[in-house]
Amino acid sequence: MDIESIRHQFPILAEGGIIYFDNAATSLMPRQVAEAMMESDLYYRANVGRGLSRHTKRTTGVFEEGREKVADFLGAEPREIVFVRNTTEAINIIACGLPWKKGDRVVTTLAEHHSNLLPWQVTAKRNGLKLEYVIPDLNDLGDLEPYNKALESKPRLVSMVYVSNVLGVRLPVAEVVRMAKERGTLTMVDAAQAAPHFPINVKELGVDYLAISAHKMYGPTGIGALYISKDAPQPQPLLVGGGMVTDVMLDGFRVAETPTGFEAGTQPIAAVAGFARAVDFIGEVGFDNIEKRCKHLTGEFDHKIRSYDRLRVFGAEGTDKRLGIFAFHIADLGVHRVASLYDQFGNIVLRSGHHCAIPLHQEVLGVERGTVRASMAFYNTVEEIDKFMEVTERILELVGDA
Amino acid sequence: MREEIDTITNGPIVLEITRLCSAKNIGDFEVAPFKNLKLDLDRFSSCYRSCGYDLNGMDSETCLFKIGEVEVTLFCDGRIVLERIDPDEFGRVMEFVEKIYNPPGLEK
Repeated sequence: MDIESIRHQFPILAEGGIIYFDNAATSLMPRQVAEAMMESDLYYRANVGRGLSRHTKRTTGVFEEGREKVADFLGAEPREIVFVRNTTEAINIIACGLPWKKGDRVVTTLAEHHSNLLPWQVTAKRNGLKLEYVIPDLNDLGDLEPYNKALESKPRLVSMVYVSNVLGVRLPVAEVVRMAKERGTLTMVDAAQAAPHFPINVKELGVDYLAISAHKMYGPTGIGALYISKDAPQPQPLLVGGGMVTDVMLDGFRVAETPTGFEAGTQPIAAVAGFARAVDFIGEVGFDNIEKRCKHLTGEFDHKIRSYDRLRVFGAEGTDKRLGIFAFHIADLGVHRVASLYDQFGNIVLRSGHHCAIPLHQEVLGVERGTVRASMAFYNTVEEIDKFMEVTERILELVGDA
Repeated sequence: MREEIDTITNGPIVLEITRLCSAKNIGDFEVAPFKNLKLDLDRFSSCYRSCGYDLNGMDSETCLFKIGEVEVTLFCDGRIVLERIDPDEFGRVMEFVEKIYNPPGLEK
């Protein structure tokens, strides 16, 4: 893989100047994705699915081709892919849309992003559900016992994250989905952080619902995908309005089949074109290359950051347990202070705070004030990691024994 | 949220105040002037010492200190990070900004 030529496809990287270690929040976007979006708006602009003109049909073709590409990316059928704004919206559709019965139990984990907690809290309150949390052993991810225990009484649904956005650890999703299926429990997976790192095949996983966001995988913001297995219960749509019905009467309407029934109103057509191009981009680079390079960068970072006594890195040690995401503290410095110092001294883009995972920080990591997070993508380099370590030394020197 | 302040060394400036991620009713904020300032941190830090603020580190680009329990990171371009404001209220931010930009003893 010619990393320099790949970096040149990203104008922000090609221009130089910044070190971008905030990929878990939003990855950078290669030029061809932006061009696909611009091309859609400049040359294919029309509304999809509602016109007989050849021009409109071409727009619809681009949109549906995007759906086919995303479906192929996840190993799904196109009719199982709903375009949504992001993973948050996708999980809300499932949480709000399934026909719940009072007393139903939903299981999630304390490793979740708020997007996979708050929708369940709201739904639990609204419908009288019981929400239970599994506390995963982040140092021994192979330990299935906490999940086994939670699934014993056959909850209605288990919803969990594939890769933690704070610690970069991969949770045992395949095993939990298998265990849940044996008990007739529905499964929902938040795959936002997994999608840019390794191949996902929803059919092999056997999951019922799965969500991804394009902006975590080199695509545009404001677009994502929700996989709804054709064999799983189909939820009610979250939004109703134009384009998602087969008939409207004065006293009601008939919802179209999935995915149309979930795509009310004019769709973000240019964003879908960009999403499809991002999927192509990943295919061109190849997951083999991405995984190999991420493992190398993770190893370099892990080894170097752990050489500082006054840095505390959260989560398991070792490259086989982590996907380029590191949450850490420097001495007892405030996390925002630390992130701003990296910005000032090295133009290094990090993130500080709870990363939308307050329960994980407070209940699992025992940290009140959040963490500083460095998150890498395959386009980062060892030179950037070395620069990060130089700035780390400068910060340690600045604060002395404080 | 935007606020204006009259500063001793840079005259009137407009500030953008952003609430940072925090929890348990203890607030963290970033205060960024709309134009980059040029602060002589040596002069400022002398004043902070005279005020009894606890200096945690300093170089030509940044000055780290505490005002009571509030942790202040001040950059030479005027950017400020304030951590541990208790209770977490926007209204309290300007109290600290005034102390940081206009400390007693600072001359024009």
